[in-house]
Amino acid sequence: MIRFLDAIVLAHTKLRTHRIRTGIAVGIAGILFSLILGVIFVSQGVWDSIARFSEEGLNDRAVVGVMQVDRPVRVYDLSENEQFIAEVKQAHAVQIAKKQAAAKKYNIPYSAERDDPSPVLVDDDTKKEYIENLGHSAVLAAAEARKKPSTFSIYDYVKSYGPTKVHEHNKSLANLPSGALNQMKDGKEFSSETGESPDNMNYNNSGPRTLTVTSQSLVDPFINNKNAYDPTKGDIPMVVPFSDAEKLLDMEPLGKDATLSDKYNRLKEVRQRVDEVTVSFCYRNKASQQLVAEAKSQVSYEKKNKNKENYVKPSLHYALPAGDSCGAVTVVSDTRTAREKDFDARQTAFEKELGIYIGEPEQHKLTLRAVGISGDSPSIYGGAFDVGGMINGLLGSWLGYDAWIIPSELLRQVPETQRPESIFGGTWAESSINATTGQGNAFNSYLVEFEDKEKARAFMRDNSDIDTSSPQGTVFIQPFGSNTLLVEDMKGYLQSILMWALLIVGAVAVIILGSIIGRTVSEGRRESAIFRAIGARRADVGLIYGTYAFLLSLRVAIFAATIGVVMALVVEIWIGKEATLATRYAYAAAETDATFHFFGIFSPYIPLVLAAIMVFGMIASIIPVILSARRNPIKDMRDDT
Amino acid sequence: MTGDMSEDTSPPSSFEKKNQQSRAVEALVQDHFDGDLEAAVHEIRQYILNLKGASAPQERRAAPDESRPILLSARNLEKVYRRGRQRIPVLKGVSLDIHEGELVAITGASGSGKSTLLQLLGGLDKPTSGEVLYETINLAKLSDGKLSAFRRNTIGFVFQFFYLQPFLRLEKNLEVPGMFSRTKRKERTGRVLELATQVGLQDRLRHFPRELSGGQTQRAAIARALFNQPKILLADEPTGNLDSKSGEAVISLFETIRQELGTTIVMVTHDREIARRADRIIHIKDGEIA
Repeated sequence: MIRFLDAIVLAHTKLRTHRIRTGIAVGIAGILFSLILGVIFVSQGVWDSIARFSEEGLNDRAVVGVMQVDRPVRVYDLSENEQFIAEVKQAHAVQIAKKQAAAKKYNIPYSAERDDPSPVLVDDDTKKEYIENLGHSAVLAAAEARKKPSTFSIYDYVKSYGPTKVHEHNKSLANLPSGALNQMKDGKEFSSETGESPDNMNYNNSGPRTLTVTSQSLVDPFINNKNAYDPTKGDIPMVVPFSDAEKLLDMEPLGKDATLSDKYNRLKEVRQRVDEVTVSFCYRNKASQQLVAEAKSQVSYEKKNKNKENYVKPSLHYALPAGDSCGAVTVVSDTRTAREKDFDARQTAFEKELGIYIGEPEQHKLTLRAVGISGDSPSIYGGAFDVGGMINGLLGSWLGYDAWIIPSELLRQVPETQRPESIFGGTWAESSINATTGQGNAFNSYLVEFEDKEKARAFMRDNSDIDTSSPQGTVFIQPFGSNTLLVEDMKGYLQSILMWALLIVGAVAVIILGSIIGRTVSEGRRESAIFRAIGARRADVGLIYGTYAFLLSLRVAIFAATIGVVMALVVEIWIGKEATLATRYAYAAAETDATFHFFGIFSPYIPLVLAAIMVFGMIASIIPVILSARRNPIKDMRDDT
Repeated sequence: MTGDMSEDTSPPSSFEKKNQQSRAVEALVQDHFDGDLEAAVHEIRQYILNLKGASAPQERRAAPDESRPILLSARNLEKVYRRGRQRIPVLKGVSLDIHEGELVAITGASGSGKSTLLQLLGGLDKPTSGEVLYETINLAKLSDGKLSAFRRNTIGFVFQFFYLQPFLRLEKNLEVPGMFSRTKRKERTGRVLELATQVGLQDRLRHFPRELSGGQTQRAAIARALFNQPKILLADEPTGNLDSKSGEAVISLFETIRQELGTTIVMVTHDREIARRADRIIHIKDGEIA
């Protein structure tokens, strides 16, 4: 058979003979394939960039947030349930009996009808009983009694995914069971004179959405001035999101027209000044809150009435502490009679007997000092099509959504007196009772760290369905710290999209190339006949046309690769620099020299697509070449003679 | 043209002459009535030219030189083409012998079957019946591969329209048969130079076919046909596309080739003058040797 190099020489003449046709085929098929190659070049650049930034923040960790919520007792579904109504009545009767006994013991006036009306009423029309007040303590008690203990164990839940670590410290300081922690806006809890609170005093409105003690190892990547921080001074260490740090430094937020370069420079400035970021919180337990409320009420009453003739000072007169002190409410004067004092003492004993005594007032002022900053959560950024937003969503690393994080180990180094047990001590699961519906939801939140990302992904994949009927309660799962766990999934999706696109484009290319090759072969019959006349075998003719198809496909591949590279370079030039800034901005925690690129060539898919182009070209040539080789040369020659 | 084969040498009367010419022209037109007007005109012109030169008595041998061994022979060759349900007999029992070293011209009107006969002799096609023997080998019984090898090694084809590769330089064009016979590159280069020198194109090797004249192109085509040193050169209207001077040069080249290489040459031609240069003329009419 003819040598391949000679076949190339002869096949090449066909490409030269049909230049326009060849140009059109190469152009159309090449552009189609170049779209796929362009996407691969760009995505490879992105994956490479992700790898470069993978050391930043929590991106190289496989941490998953797991939140388990006990199955609720839906009291609103039970408001007309006879069995439940009977249970509520029983609970109410027990409460009344207890109170009556205690009231008798401490000589406290108590009327069950007046002080504890039944939550169960009778409908006038149907004469059926129903629960009127779903938030009544007897209803909640009956619901609590119905609640089945959860069988959920985080350790059992994750143990089949290899060695894992359940981070012990993932405690939110919102909804403390004993009291409340309020941010002191401008250093003040309230006005000492008027008792009025500054706007948005509660930290839930102005500061972080959550203030959480979190395992040191999870926070470490975000701490950038560990050495400057001295725990013995009593300040509570914290890591704050960049935007909050900016506000706490009284920096005017950059306008919407700020460039990424401006933003990045701002980030560097905030990072340098992070140890200047301090914020005060005031903790008051329920008794202290009640006293403050009483004192505020007295201040307000006095302000309105002190000049009136009939104004009488309260027998137990309180004074508000200084607004910036988070101090205790003080007693200005106590003019109660002995009988009044005795009654108050009996009332306290009565409440203690019933277990509803709220305790002695306790308050603590905390100063939190920033030791590092984390990236803003993606919600801070603009639309999904904003480069910064997309990159932050994909590659940013943050600690919860707008959360202020207290690293557990650094906290432990703070003197015990400065980190009160009532705030930081004990182990408790977050819980809340919805007073309106009476739902008794308890939820537990865990941070589970897996050995590698593949196991974390498998865990997320296997447990992504939310089953509200499970005896374990409902379990919600989401990546923590970064979305890089999803990057592999995105890669997978992109791969399957590319594969489909390749098949579709390939099919189109087979049609285009097939028709071009078919036409060329058809028009080359006379020439094939001449080759046969001068000694070519059928196989020689087949090889020449096969080589022609190969060369044509090679041109398509080269053209497609060139256009693909150009497309990727255009993207790189267009938004590459911006992406680098955006990524560095997203990795707010530490300075990095890593750059982000939209052009990468070392993708296993590049040779795959190029090979596919060649294969599609060869497939397109099979039928015309076989038909041509089978033809009788004389018939073809006779067409011309 | 039937007059070509006539042995009667007495000149016809003026009336008879005109009448003969008129009938011959009619026959030619009839032959080409199917549409090949250009070929008809060409044939008529050729016929008139021949008439002008026909005043002198013509000498030609109709019988082969029996002293030479038979190289190629046809026995009762029949070839029928089919067009749909229609059977078109092109050759009707043609038998002939081609002796080694002969220069044979096959003449006949268009559609008479002369080109088909040439193609059957060259193993390009297989007869409907009958056989073509090369020495003792029946070509019809050869496989496609062996037939290709026969064409490659034994036969050289020359065509009216040359069929050189337009985008290959002459040196590469001449090499093409060598590509199919897997001749080594170095050997091919030497052979190309030798052939080009033989046909007087040694200074045109770097040229493309479009840069050559018609005569040069046909000489190149002949050189290509000679690449594998064939025993037989089959030429289908080798001068049909050339002016008379170039045609003359080609036929002279054939004569030289035959003399120097001993190559047997069979050519199909319309041209009486060219045919007259052959050792023997075989005239085909309606698929039979006239």
